[in-house]
Amino acid sequence: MGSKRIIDVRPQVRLSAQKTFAICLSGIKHRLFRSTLTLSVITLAVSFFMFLLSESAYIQSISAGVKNEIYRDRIGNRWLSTYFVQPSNLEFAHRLSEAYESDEKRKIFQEVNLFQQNEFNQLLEDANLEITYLNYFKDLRPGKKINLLGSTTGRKIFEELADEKNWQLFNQRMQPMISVKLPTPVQQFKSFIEDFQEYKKRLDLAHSQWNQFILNFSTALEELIGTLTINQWMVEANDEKLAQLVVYFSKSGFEVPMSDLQSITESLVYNHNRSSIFKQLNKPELVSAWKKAFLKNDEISDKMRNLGNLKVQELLYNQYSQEELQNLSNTILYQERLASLEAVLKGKNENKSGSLLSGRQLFLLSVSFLVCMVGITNAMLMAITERFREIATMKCLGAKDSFILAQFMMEAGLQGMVGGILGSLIGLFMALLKGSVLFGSYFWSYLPLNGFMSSSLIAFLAGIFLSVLASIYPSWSASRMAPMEAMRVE
Amino acid sequence: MPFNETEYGKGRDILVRANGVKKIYGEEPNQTFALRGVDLVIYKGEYLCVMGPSGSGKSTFFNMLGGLDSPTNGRVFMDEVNMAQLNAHELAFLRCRKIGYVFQAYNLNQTMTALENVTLPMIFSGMHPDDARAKGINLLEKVGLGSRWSHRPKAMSGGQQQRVAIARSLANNPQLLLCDEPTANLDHKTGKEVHKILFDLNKKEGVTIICATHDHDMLKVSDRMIWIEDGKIARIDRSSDIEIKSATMGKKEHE
Repeated sequence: MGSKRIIDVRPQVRLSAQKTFAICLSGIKHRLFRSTLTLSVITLAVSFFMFLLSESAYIQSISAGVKNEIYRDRIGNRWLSTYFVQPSNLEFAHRLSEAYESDEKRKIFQEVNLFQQNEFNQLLEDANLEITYLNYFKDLRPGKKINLLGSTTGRKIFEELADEKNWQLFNQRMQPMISVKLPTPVQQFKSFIEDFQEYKKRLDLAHSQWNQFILNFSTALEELIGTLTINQWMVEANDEKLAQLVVYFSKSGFEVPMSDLQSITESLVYNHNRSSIFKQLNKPELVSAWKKAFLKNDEISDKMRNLGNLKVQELLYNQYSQEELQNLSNTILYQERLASLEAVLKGKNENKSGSLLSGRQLFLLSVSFLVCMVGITNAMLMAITERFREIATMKCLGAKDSFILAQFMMEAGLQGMVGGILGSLIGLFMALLKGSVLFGSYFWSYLPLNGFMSSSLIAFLAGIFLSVLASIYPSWSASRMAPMEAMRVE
Repeated sequence: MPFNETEYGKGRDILVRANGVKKIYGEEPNQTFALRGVDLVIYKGEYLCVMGPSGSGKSTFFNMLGGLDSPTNGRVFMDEVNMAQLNAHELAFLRCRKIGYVFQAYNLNQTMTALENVTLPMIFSGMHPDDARAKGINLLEKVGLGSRWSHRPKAMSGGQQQRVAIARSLANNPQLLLCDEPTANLDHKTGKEVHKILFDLNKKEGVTIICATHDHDMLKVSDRMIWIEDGKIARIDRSSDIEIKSATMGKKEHE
């Protein structure tokens, strides 16, 4: 005996991840079924996440759609005011800022104002900056705004901050307010303020050119429209007259397609009818008749919704055809619906930065994730205590600590996957439910399929990440379990 | 006739040697002495039974022999390798290839089939899955369960589960088989089947078996019996020297 060694002892071989995964997969069905608690916690967290994500996705999509519809609805008035009303200086800057985004509008401005290309681009950019900053200061909470800028509002802000002393004060107050950050670095804001006077001069120049153009154009048009306003003229115009208008436009260097003019006229006719009926209904003798007929509500807009009503038609002296009144009534209902949607969306669509989640939602989400992490960790610890004999037996059979760790992490990953799929389905369902209750048919016509797809992917990945993260400690404690536990008998 | 160590051990190879093994649980002053110094030599190819009342330190001693626990004092050698000097990876190697464990409660993985349970240690030892599968079927046939390889433990009786567990313990051809009351949860008949398998393993294949048991049938077939009492070896008997009578009530049931 003595030196003779019959057995050799070497370090245990390392199992490949593939084999570990294969062992983990065997009987995973049973294990998933057993760990319903863990699974449901993950599912809950993921479904909440998915709900938030898809809610913000559909709100973004609907608000874009509603904006578009509102725009289309008011296209006539907008169009007229673009070409036939001289805008104020600030309004002009607003329009330039809008043109910053769209090539078509850029073209219109550039044709009127004979700037060089780069000069004009600079003007657009500056106008955009001005509007951005103005919006930013407008949206500041009152307390912070007073602290930063005093009670100054509007464009005066820039003039005031151009004063070196005021700027220093502003900058000083800015530093400690971590939550108040300018959309661009302070240095850029500073340089904008320094250049503001010069920019204002250029803007004034462009503005006066634009006004001059409008004046010239409407003088030329007098030949066509006579003493009527363009508004009245277009309401009564037929296709032939509209074609003449197109000629006038093209003489001034603008190409306006006939179809656009027709749709604009359509929208104008609606608005015209509406206001003329409105005027009729507001006549003193009719108001008393209204009050007799509909005692309950004397709001004019309420009555206008009932334009299809026979009594109403009587009151309107049969001036308008039944169909016309019905159409108008429908339009009014539609506009009111749009306005109410806009109000709802304004409250919902807090995040202007375009990110998927607002600050408040992010906070809610991180709290819920934290709670879920604790829940998952707890449930897993419990599951591992139940499985102490299995773990210890594995170790008796030659499993390394790293194998146990890997196995439990993989199991958690699989649970995360299943929980992620279930959770995103549930969350999606909830979001669909809420959306369809809140927005009705609008929701279904602006369904953001891409948004839902990407949010379910994100939610799914978050489920895996969450469950793996939460399982680190339980897996570690499982891997440290002593193998002699296997011998214990209850 | 008292047990004569020198005479018994003549010409035999030593597999496990315990030198003054002590185990103390807890800190002073609340110390519990589980083992108070145990010396024992276990030879190759031996069938050894360990007996003792609960709380005698039997389980602690058992864990030390299997490399599951380390002594507070003293040393346990397996083939002249001090187990306390091995690191975690080497201990895992030892448990995987050199020692087989059979537990009282079978400890099969409930979510795996019989075959998956048996092949698990082979996969830990790095064997190719196809080879492991062939060997696993072979082992299951050896314990008489070849046709039931695809069943899960829930669908098996206690005796069958224990046979699967024995097949699993043999997966990597261990030199030492540690059985912790393998028949305690079984009835007499199924217990006998388990005895037979263990006996055949010992006699035909020369596997060293250490068995904690109170089963008289098992004591009969063993080479030596060790009585542990109060953390010490109280007595060592050769089973050929003593006569064991089964304690039965009335008539003998199994004749």
